[in-house]
This record gives sequence, C-alpha cells and structure tokens, in this order.
Amino acid sequence: MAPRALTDLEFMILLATMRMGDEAYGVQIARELEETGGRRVLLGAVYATLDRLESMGLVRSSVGDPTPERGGKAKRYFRVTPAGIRSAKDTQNAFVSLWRNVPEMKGGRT
Amino acid sequence: MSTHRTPLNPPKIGAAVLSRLADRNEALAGDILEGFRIKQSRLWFWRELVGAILTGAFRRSIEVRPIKLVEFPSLPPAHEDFAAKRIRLQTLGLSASPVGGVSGWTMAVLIMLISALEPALWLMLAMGMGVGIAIGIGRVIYRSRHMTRPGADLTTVVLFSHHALK
Repeated sequence: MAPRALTDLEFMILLATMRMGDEAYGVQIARELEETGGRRVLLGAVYATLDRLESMGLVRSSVGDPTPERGGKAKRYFRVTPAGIRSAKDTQNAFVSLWRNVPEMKGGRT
Repeated sequence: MSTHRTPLNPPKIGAAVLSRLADRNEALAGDILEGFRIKQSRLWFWRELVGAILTGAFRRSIEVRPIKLVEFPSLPPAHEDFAAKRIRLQTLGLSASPVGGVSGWTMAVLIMLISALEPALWLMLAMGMGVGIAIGIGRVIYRSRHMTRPGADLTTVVLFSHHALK
C-alpha cells in the first residue's frame, strides 16, 4: 500500500524540524513555524502532529535533561528519519508538479 | 525611569492544572512553561494549556482495555501458540450499539424514524433477535459437546492489551 500523502501541517512541521537540526523540540518548532512559516500553531497541535509522524516512522524522539527554566521538566528532541526526508521530498514533488503550467502562479505577486 | 519589568509568573490555577497534567506529557508541560517565559503573556499560557487539553496532547500514555476473548485449556497459552495461530482470537465488541460507528443521538434518531415511518420493522427486529439468540444457544451446545477434550478445563479469559501511546 502506498504511504499516504502528508497534510500541510505535517509537511511544515517536518520542514521546521529539519531546519532546527539538533535543537528541534516543541516550543522551538512552534516558534520556527510562526517566524519562518508565518503560521501560528498551538503547542498541543504540534505535539499531536509529531506523535502521529513518529507513529508513521517519519520522526524519532529522544528525551533531554531537565532544565530549571522549564520547571525542571525535560525536553523531547525530535529528528527527521530518512523515511521522513523521503516523504517530505515526495510531498514537495507533488506540490511542484501541481504548480507547473498554472499561468496564475507565474511571475511576481498579484 | 527604568523600563525593566519583573517577569510574570504563570497564573496560579493554570500552573496547578499544568503540574497535575505534567506526568502525562512532561515535555509539553515544560514547553508551555518555557514558552510563557518567552512570551510573558497569561493569555498565551491559557490558550496553550486549554488547546493542549482539547487536542488530547495530555491524554494518558498507557491505556489498558480488554480487546479479545480467548478460550484455552487450563494452562495459559504460550507465545508460540499465538505466533503459530494455534489459538483462535475472537474479537469482543464492547459497544452498546449493534452498528459500528453508530451510537448515541444517531441511534435515538434512527429509533424515532423507524417508529414513525415503519413500526412493522420492530417486529422483524424482534424476530431477528430471537433467531440470533437461538443460533447462539445452538452454537454453545454444539461447542460444549464437540470441542471439550477430557481433562481440559475450558476457561474464558479476557486478555488485556497495553497500548503505549507516546
């Protein structure tokens, strides 16, 4: 069975996680989405999406050390797996294919 | 005049709720506290806390629920028996609804519609239930006569499955 296509939020969170590298954890991913992606997302929704991506094998997580500024609570770091990178590329290819030969999408801002 | 402001503390009630939920998703609870330190907004804190609860991000990570009924002789089944499919698993429907995915208000509406439009369907339903019960009793009698081996104490157990939901 072919893997299902990523939703736009899953795709954006995968990209934000890749952009953050070794510092990808919930609040930083949400911040990256807001500052770079221009999309404000609840932390709960970020975690729900990351849990789903992890169950699909597209990301994996590891627990860091507790820190005082977080009330002594540990961070959960996320990394995109090779399957996640492939899935993101497939989604990008799908978008690019749809983009091609659409006159309205050529040129600058409308 | 100094523009330095004392950092805000999270709302007391919200912090208490968060500390109670923290054991269900420690990383998210820590992220909300860290985000509050950056944003310094109680509105942001409440929005994130309520949003996390509503999106189910604080749901319990381990659910224990019965999913299968299994019959086996007095000794517990070995893992190899499951692997070799020598033990047949039967699914157990725990829903009160006879129709998958239909319950609650949908059932109430269906009941009202049937009563109003075609009351005779209730008679057919009652007959169907009667036939179903008769078939069930017949199967129990058949199994008790043909499937019990001497010395085997048939026991029905409910296996519990632990689902680790990260």
